[in-house]
Amino acid sequence: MKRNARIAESWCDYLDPVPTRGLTPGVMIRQGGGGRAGRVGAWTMVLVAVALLATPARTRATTMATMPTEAQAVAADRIFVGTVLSVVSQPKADRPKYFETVVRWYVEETVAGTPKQTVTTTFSGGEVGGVRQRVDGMPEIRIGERYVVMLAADQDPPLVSPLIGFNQGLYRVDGVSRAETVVHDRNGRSLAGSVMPAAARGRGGDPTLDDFLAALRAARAK
Amino acid sequence: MTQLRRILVLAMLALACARFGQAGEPECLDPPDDTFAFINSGNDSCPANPEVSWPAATVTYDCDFFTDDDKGINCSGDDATCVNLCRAATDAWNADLLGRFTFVNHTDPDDFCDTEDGRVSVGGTAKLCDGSSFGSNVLAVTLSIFFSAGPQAGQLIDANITVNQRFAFTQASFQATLAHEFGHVLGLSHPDQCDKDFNVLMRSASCKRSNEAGFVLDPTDADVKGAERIYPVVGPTPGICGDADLSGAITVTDGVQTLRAAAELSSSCTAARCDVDGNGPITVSDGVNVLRAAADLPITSNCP
Repeated sequence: MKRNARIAESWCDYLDPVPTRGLTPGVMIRQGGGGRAGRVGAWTMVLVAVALLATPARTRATTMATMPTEAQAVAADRIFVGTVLSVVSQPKADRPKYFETVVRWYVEETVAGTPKQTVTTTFSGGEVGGVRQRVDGMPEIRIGERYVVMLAADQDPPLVSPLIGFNQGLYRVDGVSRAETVVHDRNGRSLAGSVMPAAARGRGGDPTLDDFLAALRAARAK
Repeated sequence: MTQLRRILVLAMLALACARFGQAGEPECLDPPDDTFAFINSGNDSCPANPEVSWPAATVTYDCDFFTDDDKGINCSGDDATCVNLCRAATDAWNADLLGRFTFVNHTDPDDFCDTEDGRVSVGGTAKLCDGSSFGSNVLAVTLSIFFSAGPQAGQLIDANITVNQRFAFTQASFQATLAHEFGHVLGLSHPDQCDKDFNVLMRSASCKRSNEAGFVLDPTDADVKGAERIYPVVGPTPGICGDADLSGAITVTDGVQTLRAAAELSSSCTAARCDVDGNGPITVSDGVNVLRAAADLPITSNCP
């Protein structure tokens, strides 16, 4: 009666469902027979194919499929190491039936972009008056915690989560002295090898903050 | 020249595949039976026991919004097909949770995204119910609303599902997406975000395309087992009176959970399970009674 799924062979061909806007079939099928136009057509096809294959799978729920950390770094508008100064849930000003959670960060170190000394981010959902509105997968951030934060560019209307990859561009920083400070996932667990920046993998275990940031900078420099 | 171009294209595709593979995408293995996770009401993002549920073990849903002009979706069929696929998603859960939980199709008109009507509205949108943007790769979102403190802590009040109109779905992927979202409505979370990354419906991303073997359309055994933990029996009083964590037995843990509820701390308690003396609020007296029951001492069991 039950329907246990079989082992998947590959992720490479997962492109389903597809966006209704963005990459268009018209671009993909544009090919020429020869000469300059033909070469441009072939290269366009190659680039589009590569772009499609590199597109992360879409999720069925609230989060994006696993996005390599380097890709997060490249896509981020701002990256910084920050400490949570405050976390405040409140009704949204324009839709008071809905809650939002405003997180204020003290920026200790900037990796990319030009964040101010304090940065304010807003997430959908929150807890007000004994009632919680929850979007599954939304990070739970607490005062005093330190993170490497990767923010998407501001949008209008704002994103449900300002983090790159909904919840992925957030890494817990644990430790006191700089040399011993390591980076974990957003829940404080060891980083999976699959999401750890390549340059920080060599040492095994949890990457140090320095190695992690160096890997992010290297990814953006490519 | 044409052949060279083909070779070049194939080489680039192979490189792209290799790169994608190296990114560490999961293998999506067959799931062990404990591949499930629960929505948390407290600080533990991956609680071992259910913390959020519908107290009556039933909820009304409305898929008819897909026929509205502004809430349609490309589900590879007409509006009626989208509605039927949405209902098929709940039918799958209902069949698997027979006698435990029931999704009930609506009979009266609902307001879309109403946060207080206790009904699950389902429709296509360009933005979430709260007006924010989905982001580039999010297919659908369930906004769950529940009590987070007090004697009703953990009781769901409302849930609404929005499907991103930016995407075109196959019929199978659309049904699976909604079955996944209805799993959130039940109180299930993403097991892959709790160190259990296997090929189940509640995985945060599908492992397979909808036309491939191994694509998960309906709840797997593991998904169902998770839901069964939340809803062990049918009726307005799910679980044994005093069995705060719905483990099937009354233990010291249940006593602690009841005492936490009495102190208005996060807890897996509901009044139906933890108001042991049936006097209304969950009190220290209820906690003591649960601890007595855990020690096989006699108590009067009067849960509402």
